[in-house]
Amino acid sequence: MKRINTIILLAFTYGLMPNTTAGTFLFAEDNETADAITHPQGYHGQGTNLIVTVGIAPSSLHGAETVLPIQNAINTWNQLIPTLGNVVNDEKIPFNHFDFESVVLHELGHCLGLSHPNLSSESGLSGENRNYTQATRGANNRYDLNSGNDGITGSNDDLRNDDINLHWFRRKNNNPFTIAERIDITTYSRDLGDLPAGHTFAANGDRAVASLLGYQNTETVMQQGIIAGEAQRTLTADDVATLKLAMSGLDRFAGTPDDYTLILEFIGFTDNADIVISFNNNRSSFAVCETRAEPLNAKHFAITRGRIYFNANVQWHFNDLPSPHPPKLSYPNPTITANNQTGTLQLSRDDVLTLTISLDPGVLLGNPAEYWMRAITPTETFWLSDQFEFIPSSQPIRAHAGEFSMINQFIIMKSSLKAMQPGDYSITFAVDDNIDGIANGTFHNTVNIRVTP
Amino acid sequence: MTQLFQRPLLTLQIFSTFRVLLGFVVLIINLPASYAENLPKSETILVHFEEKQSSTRDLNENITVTIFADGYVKVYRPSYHKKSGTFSGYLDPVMLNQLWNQLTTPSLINFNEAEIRHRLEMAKNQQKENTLPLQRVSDAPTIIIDIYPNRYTLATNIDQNNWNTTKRITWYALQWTAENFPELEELHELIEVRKLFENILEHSELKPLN
Repeated sequence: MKRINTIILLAFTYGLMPNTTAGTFLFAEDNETADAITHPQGYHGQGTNLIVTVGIAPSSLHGAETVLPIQNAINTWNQLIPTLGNVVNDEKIPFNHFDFESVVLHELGHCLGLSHPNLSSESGLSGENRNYTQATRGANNRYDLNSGNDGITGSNDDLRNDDINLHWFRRKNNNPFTIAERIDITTYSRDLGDLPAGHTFAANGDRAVASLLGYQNTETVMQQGIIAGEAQRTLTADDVATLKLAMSGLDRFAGTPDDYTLILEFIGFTDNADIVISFNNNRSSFAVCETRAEPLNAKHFAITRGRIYFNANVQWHFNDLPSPHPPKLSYPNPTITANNQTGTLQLSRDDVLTLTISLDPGVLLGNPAEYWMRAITPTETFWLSDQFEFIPSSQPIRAHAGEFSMINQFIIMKSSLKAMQPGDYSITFAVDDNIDGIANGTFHNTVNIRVTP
Repeated sequence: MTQLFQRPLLTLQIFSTFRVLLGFVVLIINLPASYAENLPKSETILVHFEEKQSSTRDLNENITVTIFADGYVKVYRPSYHKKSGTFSGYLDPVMLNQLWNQLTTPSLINFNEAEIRHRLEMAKNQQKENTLPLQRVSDAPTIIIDIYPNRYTLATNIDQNNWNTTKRITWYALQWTAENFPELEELHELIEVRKLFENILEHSELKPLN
């Protein structure tokens, strides 16, 4: 193995980081309460396992059909796993039916204290304007709406004049589809002064914003607006981060005694749960969540009652399968190819070998990462060092410590195999979600090459 | 309600020419009232009701009710509704008059959304100051009612010379707001109007238009 070009360092260090958040809270809706965080029912400021019960009104229509989708949605909120690609056109859902599980997942979020990351219908705006990031009207008492140079509503270059941002964004990258390792006010902010350089407003988790950032079929569950025939049954980073920000407690610092862990518990058919779900055409023409809350202090509220009502005249699709655990598409995906092939291939000493690596960091973009590359050869095991040289070693040697970055088909080696000894070679590209100097191989991919004489 | 729809239904014939007539209606919109008054009444929209869903992305897929000057009613329910499609029928003149009288009361003709919303915000702030339990609703619908007050029995407090004068009333989360802030009296009146539209929507004598 030869010394590898130090360009690898650049690939690891910079990658392709899209520059573009957590969401918003109910009751944080005017200039005085803009900074408020709303907590689920039962939280009083002490660290605890916070159990919130969910029931189905015994008199409700569709009772039996709703049990599994409700349990799925509860599991999804309990797992708090951020995903990408969560907008799915499920062929089981007729084009003119709405997915009950997706809608109940959204409404449960409201009953836990979460609001819409976008201005949505309560703003009184219509059409695309609803998709601007949640804010107050500011001193001029009107929403200032300008989608900026990219023309995408709700993205990081929106020009909002004196509108007061209500959306908690990730300080590091203002990207609502990525999530920080630690979630509290050290990593998330509502103050536009904490935005990354060049950004003018907090980006929200709208599907068009996701597409702009290179994430297809992805949208924050709490973003208002679903289409018939599609499912959104898993959370995004924005949904998870917002709830975890609340879970950092009254001091808003994670790891302190006032933190809590939320546990939603389905307790069957009852009107006496913290959150009660029912079909009631008098209270809903589609689906609504009605909440009550009380202040814990000047900057914190706690829900005291949640009721979700569905309209029975809408054509609902009731998912009859348990949700997969864990959901797919959550994690970084490293790949290594040899001559554009993955897996196993055979080459002769007359061939030229081109090794290429790619990394989709998924929701961990920008988080701490360690990069490792190991080559097992017929004679010895080599590790790529931080000097970008393959060094024979029985102990792992780290190639780079930095951040999860997007790497797109980066060539790490192009060389004739003439000097190679015939035999089996196994080359592994691995990335860890920490910086501890230990080769955990959390996310990895291997290509196997047989070199013939 | 059994007397609501009395006239023999000519809906198919009417609908077949509807598009042509619609173009004609568009043409007359800018004419002076004296010309427009001579139009056949079935082409004259008196009121259009729409209930916009918050949670759906297809912004044009909403329940609508359109009522014409001769009592002709057209109802649309979107494809995701169990009774989807376009339906029509006729309102009994008594019912039409009742609906018209409720739509053109001074308080609805002068309905000032911004002013009522300001009072709502003050009431919400009062709740906070008095540390009362706070209440919110998410994903409620928005109702939109377009009334043409000069196209039937003339209403008061409006410019009566303009045939096309339109009064638009828009409100988000009507039912919930009226229940939780009963001091907003205009909303209770609006709820009564909405009930009339709901009665029309649910009436079994509406026939499908294909």
